[in-house]
Amino acid sequence: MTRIYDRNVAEPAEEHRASPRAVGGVGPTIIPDRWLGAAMLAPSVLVFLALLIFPLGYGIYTSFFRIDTLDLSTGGTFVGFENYLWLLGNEQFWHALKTSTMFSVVVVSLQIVLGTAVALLLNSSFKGRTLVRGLILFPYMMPVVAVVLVWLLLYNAIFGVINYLIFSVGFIPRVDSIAWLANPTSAFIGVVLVAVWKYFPFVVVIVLARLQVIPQDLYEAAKIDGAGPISRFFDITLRELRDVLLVVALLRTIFIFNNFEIVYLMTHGGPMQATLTLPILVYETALDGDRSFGRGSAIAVVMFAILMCVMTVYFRFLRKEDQK
Amino acid sequence: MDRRQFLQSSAAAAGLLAWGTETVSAQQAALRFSTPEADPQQIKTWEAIFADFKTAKGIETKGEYGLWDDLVKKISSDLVAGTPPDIIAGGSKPGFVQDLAKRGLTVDLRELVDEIGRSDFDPAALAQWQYKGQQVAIPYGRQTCVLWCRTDLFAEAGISKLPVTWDDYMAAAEKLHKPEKGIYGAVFPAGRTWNTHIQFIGHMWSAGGFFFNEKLEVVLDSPETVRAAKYYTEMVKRFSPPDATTYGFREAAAAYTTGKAATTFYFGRVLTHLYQQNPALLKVSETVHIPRDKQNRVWDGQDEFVVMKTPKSSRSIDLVRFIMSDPNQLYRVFGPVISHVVPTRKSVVPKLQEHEWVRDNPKIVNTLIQPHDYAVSDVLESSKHPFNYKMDAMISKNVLPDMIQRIVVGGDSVEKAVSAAHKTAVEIAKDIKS
Repeated sequence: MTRIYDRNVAEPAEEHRASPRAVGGVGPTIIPDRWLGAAMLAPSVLVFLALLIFPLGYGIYTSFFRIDTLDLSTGGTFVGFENYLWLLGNEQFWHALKTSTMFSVVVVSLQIVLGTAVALLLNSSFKGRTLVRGLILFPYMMPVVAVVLVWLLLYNAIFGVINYLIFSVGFIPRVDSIAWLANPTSAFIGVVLVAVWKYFPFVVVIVLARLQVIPQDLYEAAKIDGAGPISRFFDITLRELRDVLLVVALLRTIFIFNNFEIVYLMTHGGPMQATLTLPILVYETALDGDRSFGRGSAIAVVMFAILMCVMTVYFRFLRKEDQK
Repeated sequence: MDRRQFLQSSAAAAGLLAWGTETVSAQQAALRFSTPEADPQQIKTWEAIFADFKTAKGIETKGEYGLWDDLVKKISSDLVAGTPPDIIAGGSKPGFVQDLAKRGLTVDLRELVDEIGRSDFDPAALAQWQYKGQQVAIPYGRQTCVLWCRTDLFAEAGISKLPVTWDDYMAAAEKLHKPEKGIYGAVFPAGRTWNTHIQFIGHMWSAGGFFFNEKLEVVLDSPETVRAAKYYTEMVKRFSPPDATTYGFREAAAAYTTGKAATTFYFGRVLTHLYQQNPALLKVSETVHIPRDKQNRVWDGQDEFVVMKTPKSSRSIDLVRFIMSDPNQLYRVFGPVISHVVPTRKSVVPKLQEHEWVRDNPKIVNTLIQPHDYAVSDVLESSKHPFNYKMDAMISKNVLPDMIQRIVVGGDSVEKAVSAAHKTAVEIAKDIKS
């Protein structure tokens, strides 16, 4: 039987120690520290390699090949940086990159502002607070497909509730005057609103958790020093929330930049490619038509590199803050 | 046995067990049946057929129901994951199926066609699914797109004849279009969808244009395409619902069944939707062939069974045989969407004609059911064209829908948008190898 080595347990007496080489024999075996550590880490490392490093490495590897998606098992032709050069000269890629960046910046900003505002509200005392705290999670818990179907109905130019409401108050001459998803600008705004609505509860939960552990003494001391509510918000609340908001911003950016389903289900990237984001471009490039898996991989690798840059900036910023 | 021997024996036994389990589970697992023919009633019918098949053969089948626009992407991603479905039903994508066959991913179904009775099939339908002598799919039905017309609104507008030509249709749409009353004269889909491709390419063919020439070179930049695009986009802008630039199949059908459109292009599925959602419109609906320019041309769609090469292929063939061999069994597939999918087996057509919906609605179903000779396939734009392996990419890259949107949404001139679409198509085609 193997005995796990524990530094905190006193060493057995010399005469009771079994030979470390007593493999196959009966009696305790001492595993050297380095092997024990490696053995205990091995499962995590294996899972990490299998689920993260391998797909990432494979994605980078295939981005250097001209390969039809249906031929993945048989391999393709090595083309070096050809797929990346194709990207540089491809208008659709630049357009999708611009759209993805705008979409991420706008959605994440709005999610943070709205999420923080709602969290502040939910942190104050009022009747039915527990119920509201539960209900606020509703959009986040709903399946994306259901959310999109509901919003498509709301936005519908002929039957939509939104147009009906605007029409009933006399803002538009006819109920079908606004075709929300048929115009590039309003379609972009429409998709942004759905993405914000669906995911802002995530921000609420995180910010609310942080708000609840801000010491009340700080506010009391500030009050005594004559600080007003605005000053207390900026000097205490926001300052205390800063780290959490940075983490939330990073996580939401990664998530929204990679988000595929909301945009695709709502607009398929249209109209006029106004909502064509990079994940949709990867999907269309790699899985449909000419099924250029290599080009699809190259786009995905660029997306990964962009997010790595965002993360690097974030961590550098954090390090600087820590040094301060 | 010492510990080393014990460990070695255990590892060997576990390996054998794992290999055996995998083999057995691969053979015993349910058949995966992927189809976009997935109206609620169709799903019920598929499930009933699967239950009968299980009773008859003891083989379980699991339906995977998807969307027309996403079928190719779904199958491709399944293949990448190493888990292709066992059977694909009703994809209407001969180009993609040929790509699968080229790689040896499909089962040759010639023997099954002979067994069922080759002479009972429409030869043209069978031909569309042949590749290097193989029968890579069995077409079980065809779909014809028609123009659905509200005769009450035509009468109200003083129009005595349903449209035959583009000019007739535009004149009629002008009179029918009453958005202030919530009625739109036409529904020309202009979303970034397959339906937009299908409808526009039909108009382009009708004007005498082609996407590719007989050498499979892009010839989109032609006066015929420009003419078709002018007509099509004018119909979108002037007489279609304001959000037509988001329309695919579902929206085009819904505009009619909800009573908002005086006309729409669609297949026979609308008949079922009217029975289910708005039976009052049945009495005031008729269908005609899609109005023509120089000639009658309409996109041809077929529903087919593709059997993928998997460890379960022989059982997949059993299921296809089970559905196809007995005309009564096959007829069940058409039941939920009468006149939407019309049998390619001659022996099944009489049964279809006995259906009460068909008997009660001759002015709707005749155009859908009767054979005609002007259906054109994406992959065979004319009898002189070779099989077009490049068209799938044009569809999936939304070349035609993007062109329509540039004109309608972006305000580009027709000539500029056609020229840009031509350029894009040339770029895409350059990368496609036969």
